[in-house]
Amino acid sequence: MSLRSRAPINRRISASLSATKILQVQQTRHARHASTLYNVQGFVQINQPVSAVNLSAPKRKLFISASSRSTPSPFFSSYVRVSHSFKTKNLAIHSSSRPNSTLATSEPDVIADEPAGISEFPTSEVAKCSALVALRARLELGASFDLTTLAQALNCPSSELASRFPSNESLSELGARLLDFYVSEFIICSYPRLPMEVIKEALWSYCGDDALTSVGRHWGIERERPQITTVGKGARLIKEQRLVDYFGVLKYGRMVVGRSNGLTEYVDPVNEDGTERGVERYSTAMSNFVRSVIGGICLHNGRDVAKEFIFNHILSRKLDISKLFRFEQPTRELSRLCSREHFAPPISRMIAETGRFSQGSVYVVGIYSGSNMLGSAEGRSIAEAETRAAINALKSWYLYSPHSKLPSTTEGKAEADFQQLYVDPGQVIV
Amino acid sequence: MPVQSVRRGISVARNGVGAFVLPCRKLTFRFCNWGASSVGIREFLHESLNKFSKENPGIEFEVIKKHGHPVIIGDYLNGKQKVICVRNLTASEVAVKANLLRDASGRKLARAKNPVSSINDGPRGIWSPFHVLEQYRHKV
Repeated sequence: MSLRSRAPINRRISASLSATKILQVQQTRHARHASTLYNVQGFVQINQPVSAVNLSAPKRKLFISASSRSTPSPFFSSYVRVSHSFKTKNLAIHSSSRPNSTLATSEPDVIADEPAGISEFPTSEVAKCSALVALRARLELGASFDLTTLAQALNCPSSELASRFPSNESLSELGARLLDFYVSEFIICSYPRLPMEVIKEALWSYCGDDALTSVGRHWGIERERPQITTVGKGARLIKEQRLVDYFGVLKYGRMVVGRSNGLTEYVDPVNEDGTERGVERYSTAMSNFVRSVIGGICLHNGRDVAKEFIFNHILSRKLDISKLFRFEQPTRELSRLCSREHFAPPISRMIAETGRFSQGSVYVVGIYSGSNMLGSAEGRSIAEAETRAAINALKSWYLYSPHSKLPSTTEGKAEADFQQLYVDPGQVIV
Repeated sequence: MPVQSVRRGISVARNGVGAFVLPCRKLTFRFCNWGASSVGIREFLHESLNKFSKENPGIEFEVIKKHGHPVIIGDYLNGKQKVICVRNLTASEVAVKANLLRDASGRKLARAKNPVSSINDGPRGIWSPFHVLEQYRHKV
């Protein structure tokens, strides 16, 4: 094989394929090694100690261990399989949260002494994270919002750091409930006649995962850099981050590891030993961070402040609800609506037309109930104009907006403040 | 099913309508402790950075000592970076450049083709020749 002609590290690994062996390589030469490892047959694992997790890491070193595929090491917490470019060869990349990675072995009993339990965020260390301090000021959260809560909000349950510090699971649950309540209250009070499907879509557009990811990005949140940026020819290991810097970035178990040659490489969600590995989508992690901030505001500053925050950051965004409708039988639905509401049956009338016998004909049709025009529209044919007019009429019904006072504004006040809201009899059944 | 919904994408951010988030999220000052071209930025860092950072609490500041000409790097919310070389500038000129980076939006410089660009529909609607009175319509 051509293995012998390659870098010395390859020969060393190929020679030790049968038995697990750990090789130490200075990190200054990591880039070349990472790219040449693909030629090694068997199951190769690169272990880079994350000094961000390990405060007392003595020296940056890259650990490469080679073992046969049938006996994967349970020590390694996550890895990636790359199998698109070489059929029988796998590359495993992982970062370990084990504090003393310098003693890495593949013996399972060594894992037993891994420090268990979750400790609080170190307040003094977190206060040194400039990104967190700036983020708190940028969002105007105030000094009453603890920096440790912000650090916790950035720590997703799937991250490596979640085994050492509290994750944002509970905060995001609270934030999600608050968001759902205030956003749905806003939508339903603003447009009480909206059909259910449109309400759901509006909720998704305001506080779904994608919308909240956009919000989080707009706040300038960076995510944890992967240990290896690209898989393939340009693979390179990234410099380690200090723990302090780690607090200020979004941390989660990455689902997508690399993209090369138009292929996306995903992490296997199940470990070799059958246990589940924590992986999340970027949008899930980022949106949960935003929810956690809202939950944290509720805990630290009170629910009124959380509500104001939601109105300032989420509901201030633009959403055109009239574009979320799709009608299947608008003319029929309109006639049902008129009969339900005891209006005169709708009649279409031509308001204007031009070029009937030409290629560019335009018709303007209005739909009337008695002498009231419910809606009008233009169209290239009479049928099109009639349909469009019916849609406009239905939209003007469904988008009725009484501008009523939100019930949540009267919380904690005398009952006299509360005004009963308009309750719609429901959408039209065709 | 009478009314269905269409996915039109997420809501659009309107910075400043509710909350305002400064687009500049990080400023990095890179200077040389020895070089003569860094005299101005050294004085700026020594005299004014403390005040400047207190005035802008939402921005993360980083100071890097590295050989070569001094630069100020601005990181923005849209992921873009703006870099200004401040070699041989005086401290007050460096402060002007720092203010410039702080106030920038981070977007690529582009010529504004229209006097107004908006994500909202025009309040007057689109003029229609068919909705004017009969006597004013164009007759062929």
